[in-house]
Amino acid sequence: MVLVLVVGDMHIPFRASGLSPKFKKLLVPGKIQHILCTGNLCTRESYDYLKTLASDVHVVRGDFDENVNYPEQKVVTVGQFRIGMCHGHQICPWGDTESLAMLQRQLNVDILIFGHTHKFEAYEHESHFYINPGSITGAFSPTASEVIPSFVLMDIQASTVVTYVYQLQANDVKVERIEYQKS
Amino acid sequence: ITIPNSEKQPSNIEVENPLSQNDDSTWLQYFRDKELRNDIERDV
Repeated sequence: MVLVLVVGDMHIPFRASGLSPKFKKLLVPGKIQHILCTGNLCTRESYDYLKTLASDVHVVRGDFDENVNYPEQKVVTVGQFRIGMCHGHQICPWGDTESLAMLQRQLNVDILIFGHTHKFEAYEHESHFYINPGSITGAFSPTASEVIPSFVLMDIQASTVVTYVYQLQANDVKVERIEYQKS
Repeated sequence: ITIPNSEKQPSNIEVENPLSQNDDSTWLQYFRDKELRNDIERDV
């Protein structure tokens, strides 16, 4: 059992002041093994915060990141799964299923993680899994009228991924569960 | 130590999730047990 936190698009301090206390209460050290961040943390402080939750933090570069050393794309292997990461501003049109499928084939991954649209998504397409954790701070996006703060936690066990989605709706944390089986 | 079974559809997802702070959660119990076991291993 490996717990992987998928998070991104914080935009701190430019579009959001910080994480909701309700989310901060849930995210405690000692539970999560890996963190996959879709980028747009913006400043070093957000990265340092993620480092307090788990020592293994992977970040891809967003269009507003100050750190230019983050890679544009990254592939991480957890258990039996190859997981590809990309912020998503490079994908045209943003968040398009077919364009994402192209990147998935290019990277040859089982799971593709992307962000940028600030809208949570998790779906299976041509027997591969796609996850957009949304924006954990609920930061403004020009393409979304209303942004719901959200992040994703993956529980990886052998050839199964159980995805838990945490969304902040009306100041309450709502949890959803989605399962993906590797074929 | 019981590892929470993710594959089984839990009855109450608000309680049965890995970040749950609810005392009835098997996940919270699991992390507490793990912590305790680490302490014991360090002591012996």
